[in-house]
Amino acid sequence: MLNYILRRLLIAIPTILILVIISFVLMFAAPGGPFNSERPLPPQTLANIEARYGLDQPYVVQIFNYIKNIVLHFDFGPSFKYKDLSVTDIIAQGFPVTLTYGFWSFVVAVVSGVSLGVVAAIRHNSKVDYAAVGVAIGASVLPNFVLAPILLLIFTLWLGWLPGGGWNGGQIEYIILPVIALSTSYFASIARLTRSSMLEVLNTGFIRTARAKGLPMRRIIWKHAMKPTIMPVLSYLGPAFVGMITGSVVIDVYFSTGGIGQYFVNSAFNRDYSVIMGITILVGCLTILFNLVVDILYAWIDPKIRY
Amino acid sequence: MALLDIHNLKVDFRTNDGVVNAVKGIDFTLDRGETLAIVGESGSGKSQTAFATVGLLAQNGEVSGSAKYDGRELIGMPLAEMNKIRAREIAMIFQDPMTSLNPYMRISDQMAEVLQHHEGKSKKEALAEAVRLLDMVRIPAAKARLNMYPHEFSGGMRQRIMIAMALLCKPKLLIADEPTTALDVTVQAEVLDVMDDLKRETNTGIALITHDMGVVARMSDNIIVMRYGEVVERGTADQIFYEPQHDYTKMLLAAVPHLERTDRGERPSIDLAAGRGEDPILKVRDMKVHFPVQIDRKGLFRRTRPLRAVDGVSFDLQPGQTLGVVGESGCGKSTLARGVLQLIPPTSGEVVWLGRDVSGASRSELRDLREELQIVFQDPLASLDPRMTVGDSIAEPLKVHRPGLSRSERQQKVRQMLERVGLDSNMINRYPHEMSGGQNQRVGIARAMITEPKLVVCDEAVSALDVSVQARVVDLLIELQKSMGLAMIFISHDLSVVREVSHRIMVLYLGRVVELADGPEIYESPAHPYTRALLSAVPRPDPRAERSRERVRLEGDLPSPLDSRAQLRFMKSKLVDDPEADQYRPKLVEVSPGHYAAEHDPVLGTEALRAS
Repeated sequence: MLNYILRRLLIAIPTILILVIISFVLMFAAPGGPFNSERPLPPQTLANIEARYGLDQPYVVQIFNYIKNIVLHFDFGPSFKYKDLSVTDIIAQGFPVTLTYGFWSFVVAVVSGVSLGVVAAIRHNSKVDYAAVGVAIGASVLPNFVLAPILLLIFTLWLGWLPGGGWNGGQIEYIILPVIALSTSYFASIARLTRSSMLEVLNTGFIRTARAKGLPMRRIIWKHAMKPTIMPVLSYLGPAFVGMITGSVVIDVYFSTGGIGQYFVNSAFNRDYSVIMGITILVGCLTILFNLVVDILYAWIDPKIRY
Repeated sequence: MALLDIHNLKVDFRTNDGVVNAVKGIDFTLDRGETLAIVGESGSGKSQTAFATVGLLAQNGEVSGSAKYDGRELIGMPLAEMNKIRAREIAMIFQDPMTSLNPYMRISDQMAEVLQHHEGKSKKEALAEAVRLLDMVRIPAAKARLNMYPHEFSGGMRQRIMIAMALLCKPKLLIADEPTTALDVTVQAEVLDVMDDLKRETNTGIALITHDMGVVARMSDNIIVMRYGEVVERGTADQIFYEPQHDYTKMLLAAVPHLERTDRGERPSIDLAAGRGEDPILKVRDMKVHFPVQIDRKGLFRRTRPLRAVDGVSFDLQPGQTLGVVGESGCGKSTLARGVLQLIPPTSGEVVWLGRDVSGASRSELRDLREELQIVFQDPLASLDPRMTVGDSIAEPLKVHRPGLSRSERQQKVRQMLERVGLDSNMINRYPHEMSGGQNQRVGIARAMITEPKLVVCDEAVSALDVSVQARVVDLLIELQKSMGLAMIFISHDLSVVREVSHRIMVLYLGRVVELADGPEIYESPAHPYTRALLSAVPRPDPRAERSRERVRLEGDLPSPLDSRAQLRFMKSKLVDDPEADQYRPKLVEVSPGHYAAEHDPVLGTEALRAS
C-alpha cells in the first residue's frame, strides 16, 4: 500500500509539470497581456515593465524560471495586478476562507445527500421516494447564482436572521448561507447517485441472502448494503470535494467572502499570469491528492481492491 | 403434520406489460427427512414458489393461498415474525455462490452475525460454531480462513460456505434453489454429498429446486414437475423416472442427455464414419496461450508471471467430425478455442488450417479465414447486437465475405438459413429481446453457418439452454454437420452432451491434455484418473443406478493454475515441492490405437499405462 501511494505521488510530479506547461502555453496563446489597457502605455514603458516581470524572455525560459523558483524557493512570483502582494500571499489569504466554507459544504452535501438517497431507496416507489426525487431534481436545477440571491432575500432582508455577507474570521452566522448555496447542487447529485446505487445493491443476491438470514432491515442496510452503495458515490466525491474547497466565484461575489474563487476569475480577466498559474497548480495538486484519497478509500472499503 | 404444507399457492407479478401469473395455485407437502425435488424449466415458477414461502419475492410480486410451516401460516406473516423463522427454521441456499455471499464482508462476520442475532451468542461462541460447520462441509483449514473474503475462495468452496451458513441455526427445512447449477461436476458431487449427509444426520427436510434430472435422480425421494406455474405431475422418484404419465414429463426425460446411452431413439445421431482416413483439415501442434498475471505487489514496480491457460495442446481434426473438449472451469477450453480461431493470438505453437500455418496471419488473411472458421458463443442474447435485427446480424458476415451479393440475394439467403435452423423466415425483422433463448441461439448458429464454413467452434453453445431446448439445438447441430460436412469443436462442461455430438473427445486439465480418444472409448474405458473422476461425478438421470453407484472422488479443490505443482496432481512421484521449480511434464502415452492419456501415478487398474 505504501509503495502504491509512493508510486502515485511519483506519477503526480510529471502530471503537474504537464499541467504547468499546458496552462502556460494556453495563457500566452490568449490575446492581450497583464499590462494592456484601454489607454495603451508608451511602448518604452511597456517594454520596461515586461522586462521587470521577465515577460520579454522566450516562453521556454519563462517556464523554466517559473518552475525553478517554485522548486528552489517555493516562490510563485508576484501578482501582476495587486501591487505588493505575492501569489503565495493571495492564496494564504483566500484559501483558508474557501477551505472553511467548502469543507462544511462538503459535509452538509454528503450527510444530507447520502441520507436522502438511502431513505428514498429503502422506500422505493413510495411517497417518500417521490418526494426525495423531487427535492433532488429541484436542487439540481436551481443554479447557485439564483439560489444565493434568494437566500439573501429571505434570510437577510426579510427575516433578518443572518448577515448578508462578509467573513468576519469565519464566524458561524457568516458561514451558513455560503454553505447552503454551495452545497445544494452537490447534495442533489449525491442523493441521486446514492439512491440509484442503493437500489441496485438492494437487488443483489447477497442482500437476498441477508434477508433470508432473518436479519432486521436496519442491520441489512448498515452492515450489508452501505459499503457497496457508497462505492460509485465515492468516485464522484473526490472531484466534488476539490470543487468545493477551491471555492466558487458566485459564492465569493454574492457573500463577499473573499475566497480564492474570486481571485481566480479576476486574475483570468486581468491576465494576472502568476495568480492564474498559482491557483491552477493548487487545484491540480488538490485534484491529484483527492483522487488518490478516493482510491485509497476504495481499497479500504472493497476487499477485492488491493494495491 | 407435514413440515411444509403448500395449498393453492399463487404468485402474480405486476409488470409494465400487465400481470404475470408466475405460479397458478399449486399444492404440495414436504416432511422431515424428505427431499422433494421441484423440477421444471425456466419460467416454470419453481423458484418463485420457494421465494414466496419465505417472503423473499421481488417487490412487485403478490402471493395468495397458503403455505404452512409446522402448522404456522407463512403467507402474510409480519416481517418481524418471519425474521424469526428465516435461518432458524427455514434456511435457503441460492444458485450463484459468486453473488450470494457479500463480497464486502469477511466470512467470519457473515457467519457469526446469524448466531449473534438469532441465538444471542457472543462473537467468540458464534465463530467456534462457524468453524465446526465449515469443517463439516469440508473447507480445509477453516479456522485460518475465517477472516478471508468470499473472492478468496473458489466457486465450489463458496457454495459450501453458503451451505454451512444456512445450517448454523440447525434449520428444519432447507430450500436449495439450483444449488449446484453454477458448479463443476466434481464440485457438484461434493456439495450434493454434503446435503445428502445432512438429511440423514439431522432429519432436515430439503426442497431442491433444479432443472437437472441427474441431480434429481441422485437426491430426491419425491418429485413434483412444474410447467408454466402449474404442477403437471407428482410422485416418488421411481414413479417419475420409470413410469412418467404426463407428456411433458416424458418429453423432459427424453431430452436429457445420457452419459451411458448411445442410442438416441428417433433423434438424429452423428455419422461415425465421417472423415475417416481423410487428411485432417485442422492440425494444432503444441499450442500455448499464456497471459501475464501480476503477482508481486510489494515492490515499487509490478512483476508478472505467465498464467499458462493453454500449455502445449496438440490435436488433429478430420473433416465432418466433431472434437469434444471437456474440462472444468479454468481448464483453458475456451482459450483453446479462441487460440485456434486466432481470436486470441497463441503465444507459441502451430495452427495448421488446410495445410497452411495460420498462427500470426495478418489481419486481412484472418478476415478471409473467418469465412471458413466460425464460432457460436455461450450466451445467445449477449452475443447478438441488441440494436440489430436478427436478419441483419445473420447477413453481416455475407456483406464482408460475399460483397458481390445484392440486398435481395442476401435477404434470400438469410431466409433460407433461418428455415434451415428451424426458425420461421418471417422472424427476419425481429430483435433479439423479442425472442427466446433457444431461438436466439438458433440465430447465433445461423449467423455462424451463413458463410458455409468448414469449421464451427461451439463454445458452451447449449449450456445456457433448458434441457428440452438444448436437445433440439443439439439435434440441429448434428443435422447441419451431416448435411454440410462441417467439422466442429464442441466445448462443454457437460460430459453427457459432449458424448452425444463428438467423434473424438479431449479432456483438458489446467491447460494440458490428460486424455484424448474416440468418444465411446473414453466413456467406456477411461485411462486417466482425472477422466474417471470427472465421469464418475456426473449424476445419471436414473434413480436406481444413482442409489447403488460407487463414485471415484477427487480430494480437494482445483488448484491454482499459477502453481506449477498443480500439474503433477496425478503424478506426485515426480513432484518437486517448490512452487517456483520447473516441474516434470507428464507425457501423452498411446494406451491403445488412437487413445492417448497423460502419464500418471498408478491407480488401481491403470498400472499398465505407466509401464508402457
